Amino acid sequence: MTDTKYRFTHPIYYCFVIVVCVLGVHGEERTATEWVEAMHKAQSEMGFEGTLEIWNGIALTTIEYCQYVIDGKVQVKAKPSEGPQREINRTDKELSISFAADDEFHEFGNELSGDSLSRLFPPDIATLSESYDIAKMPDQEIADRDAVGISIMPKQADRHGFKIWIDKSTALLLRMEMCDCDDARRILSMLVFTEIKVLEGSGPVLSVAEETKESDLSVSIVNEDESDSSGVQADWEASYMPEGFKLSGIKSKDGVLMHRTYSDGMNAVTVEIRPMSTKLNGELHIEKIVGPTIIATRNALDARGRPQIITVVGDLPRRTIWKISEGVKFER
Amino acid sequence: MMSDSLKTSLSAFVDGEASTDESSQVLQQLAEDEELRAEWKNYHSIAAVLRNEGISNVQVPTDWDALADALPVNGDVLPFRSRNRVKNMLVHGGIGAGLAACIMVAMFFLFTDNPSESASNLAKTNATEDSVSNALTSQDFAQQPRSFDSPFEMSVSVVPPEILADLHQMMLDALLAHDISRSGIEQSLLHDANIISRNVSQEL
Repeated sequence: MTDTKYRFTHPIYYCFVIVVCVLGVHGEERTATEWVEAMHKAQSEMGFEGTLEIWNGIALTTIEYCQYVIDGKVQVKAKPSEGPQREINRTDKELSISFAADDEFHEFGNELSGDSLSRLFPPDIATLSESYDIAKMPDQEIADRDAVGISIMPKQADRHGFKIWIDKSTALLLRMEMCDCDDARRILSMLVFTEIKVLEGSGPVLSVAEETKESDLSVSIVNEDESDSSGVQADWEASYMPEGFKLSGIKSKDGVLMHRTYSDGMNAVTVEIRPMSTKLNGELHIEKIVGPTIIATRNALDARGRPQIITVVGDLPRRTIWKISEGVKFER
Repeated sequence: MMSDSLKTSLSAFVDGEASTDESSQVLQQLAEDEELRAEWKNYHSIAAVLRNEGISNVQVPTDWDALADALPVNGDVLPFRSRNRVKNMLVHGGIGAGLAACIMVAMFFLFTDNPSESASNLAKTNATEDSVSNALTSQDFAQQPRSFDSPFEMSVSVVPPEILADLHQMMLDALLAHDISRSGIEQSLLHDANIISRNVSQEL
């Protein structure tokens, strides 16, 4: 009896307990980069469903969002709780979007369907760290969950930054803000889960193949790079692209390259070239600002003197968008 | 359709920067106009979400006339929240950006016999970043943003309508193609949510 009492009151045991606790806490403490890596893993491996609010810089929309993981592959279903009824069904290989008959996007569907997209850019934290400073921020409670805050701010003011909050228990994304690169306090767009439920098991199978036949827009996601897309005629290139941006997708039509999408893993920009039926005697520059998205259009002549329209779309500062636009070069 | 001046007044009212007269007018309109009430709730919902508060907490007053009667005779008013919080939200939270989001800047040097003369009146764009930036921030454009349609209306006598329609269509197509590429390629819920929430007629 005396021996037992001695064992648990001796200072050396207190020291041992303290050391174990310190090591334990330290062992669970992730760095900011490790949290981002854990989030990418959780987002690609875990099933969940919930309600999220997205503010796209203009309007607030509530979306019911479900992600199921079936045989290791992610399927997503998302639809707004009100407003134009759209529904996204996405798998690794296919994206289908259903529009209501009175949806303004209804008429755009057919034109955009069927062409190939390539997927080159998996989340790469090491590459991300070359362009962004990734650091921890104060924790918050979001959707009744403890969330760790991470800021992902650009090293150059040629792209916007992000603040994200990750669920401490599951590493799922709970809140994400896009911040102005010139003033990080200014939020350009934001999404936040107001409710989220982690799913055990695989969840219901989404019948994407059947729904695709009836949907207005279907896009095949082809895992190949542009060099494999033989037969695609490309007589232009974007000679300027901010550091870290890589070609992540292409779209062709009738064997002609229509657009290229570039991404650095956080921000993306699409460059689209269309022939113009009429030659304009002068220069045309049009810019539209849609929330955080800039659409810049200008006219140009290709290497054979044919009139073309260059459109650059991206959630990037306008100076970057126009620099990319001016950097488009035509080749014979 | 809500007028721009009414939207501006509502914005100032929510911002806490409306005068007593302007506030009274807005409150009177809020009592009569359901669309304006929806817009009022929208502003406050956005602010609530940005503050990480639930939008279910946003309460819409039922008696706007009583609020109008309660306005002070002189000075600014702020019926629903403290000035500092709203001001901070508008400056740093992004509502101001949202309200000003649909700005469209257009530079036309079209169908002129002498492009250089035309360019001398407007900022000429070159291939360098500085010149583009300067052009975009020049007083002609940045401080006097025009709606998408007005420059076309001004140019409609010389620019064929079918070209204008084509350009508009190309920009919409490019926007949607960009959204879809991101959702399909990067496969993130942010981009899925972008497609779902995209409302071109309101945004452009």
